[in-house]
Amino acid sequence: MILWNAQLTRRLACTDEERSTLIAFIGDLVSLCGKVKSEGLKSLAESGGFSRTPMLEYGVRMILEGISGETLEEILAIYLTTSNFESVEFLKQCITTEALLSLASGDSCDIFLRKLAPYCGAHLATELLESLSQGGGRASV
Amino acid sequence: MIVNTLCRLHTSLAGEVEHISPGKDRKPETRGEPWPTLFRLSPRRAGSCLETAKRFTLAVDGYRNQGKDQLLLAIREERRRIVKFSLSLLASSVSPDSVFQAFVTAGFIAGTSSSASETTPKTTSSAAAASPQGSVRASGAAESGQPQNDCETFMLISGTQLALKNAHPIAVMRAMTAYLGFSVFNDTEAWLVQKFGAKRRDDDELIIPGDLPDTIFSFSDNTGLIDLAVRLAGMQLLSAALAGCPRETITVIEEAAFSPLGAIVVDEELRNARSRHASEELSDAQDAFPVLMGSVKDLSPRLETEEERWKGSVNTELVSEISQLILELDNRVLKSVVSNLDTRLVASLIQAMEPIAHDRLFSCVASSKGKKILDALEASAPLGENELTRKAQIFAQKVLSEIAPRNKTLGKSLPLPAKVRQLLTAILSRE
Repeated sequence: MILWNAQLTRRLACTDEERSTLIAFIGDLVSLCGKVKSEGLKSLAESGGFSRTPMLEYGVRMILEGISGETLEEILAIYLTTSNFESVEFLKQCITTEALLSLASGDSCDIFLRKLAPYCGAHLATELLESLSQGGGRASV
Repeated sequence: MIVNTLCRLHTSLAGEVEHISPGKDRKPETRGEPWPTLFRLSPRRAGSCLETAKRFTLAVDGYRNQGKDQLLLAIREERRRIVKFSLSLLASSVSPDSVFQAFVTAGFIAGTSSSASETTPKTTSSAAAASPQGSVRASGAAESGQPQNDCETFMLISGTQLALKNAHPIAVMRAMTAYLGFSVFNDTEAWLVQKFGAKRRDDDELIIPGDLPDTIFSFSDNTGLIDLAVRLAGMQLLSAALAGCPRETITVIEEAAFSPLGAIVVDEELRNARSRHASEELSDAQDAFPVLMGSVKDLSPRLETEEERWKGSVNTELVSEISQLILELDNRVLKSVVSNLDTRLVASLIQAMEPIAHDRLFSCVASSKGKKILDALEASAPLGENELTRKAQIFAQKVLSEIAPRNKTLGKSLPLPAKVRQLLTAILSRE
């Protein structure tokens, strides 16, 4: 079941043009997921692999502190809800959070992408996932 | 999905999100902040909230480790009414879902007219309608109505809910300080390491026989695989699996997949697992973890085992030349050379031989020598290409000296079959 909240919906609202930038954003995160699978979260964190946004950097540090699952989701949701981000920037932070939760639960890159793609909207998500299936199961974003 | 949790939090914080941060006008005021938050607290007030979070976290930790009496003592000693109330909810073990309503009932949160109807499930399931917390605005109305009180109230609600779900005090502290943004993240970490690291102690090891320590050591330089297995297993299975392992094994896992603060949590979870589970259960968990690692390896073609990496790095031509030489040598010569060679050298050579050459080599040595070679093989580490080449060249020189007559005259070639000569030349000319 997916809950709905008017205020959250307003906060997430953005134009189609803004939304189209999310494909490259998700592509970067999928590449990062691939690196995590080969190097591990800690090695990648120590080499500065997550320093591009505060949410990614601090989120990974909390995973390395042994926080995961529902507790991690609760904490990251507090950061998001109390932040001042709006529109596409807020959407990007939500996608980053979803990515962190996926990394914390050890998802494969394919599942990782399937969790992030819906944030682009139905139309773009379908394109993204079709490119996945055409690429023989590998993300080609 | 994070969306449901966000919906629930937006509902409970509805009044605050609307009231304190009305639309895009707020952006100029927060310019330069890496993570601007809607609770715009002065450093002094943020510090006060942080102190509250620390006191609450220490009380939760005391409750976990020393029992309810310690929590009741903390309640008696606490001066702030709202913190006392939070701790008393913890002591009474109420359902985490009723914490928010308890704060409303106690007057720490004032209801607003804001959109209760706005938060509804997208499905038609009325039973699941929104969160149990409803839509109210925390005002700290019972106290001064300052934003700082709102922040503190929400911090305590989140802390109490997580503590009631038996989350680790470190996670409780992280949840409470999340309301203050990332600016306090590093200071919080330093405080947590100081408080919880100081309590770290070396427990007596509980050793349950099993293959897990060997499996983990064989993957010790494959941090990607260890990390993935740890995340998939989760803390409960991981701690149960490691509870019966030697300290060195635990350290390998902690160094590969956890920060120093994470290692403190793992150690504490190990202690809990040892006291909570029977030996059979720990043994089962210990057996399950290598299976999980194996499935991770199968699922990740890029994650090679140590053996596979070594095989990839070995020169197949060298393997072929050594194997051919063993097969081509005269039985008497091979027997004489191998029986005079150091068993460690023979063990090293076996690493670079095809199976058919193993059979030939073992067939021409005495069984006692064969056993010593197997022991040396068991103890030997995989060698790199350079080391293997060097060992193969020593072997080739021994073969030459065995074949060469004692009174050999200069300028006369050795009586060698052409194939053996070619193989010896190929091995000895390697750099």
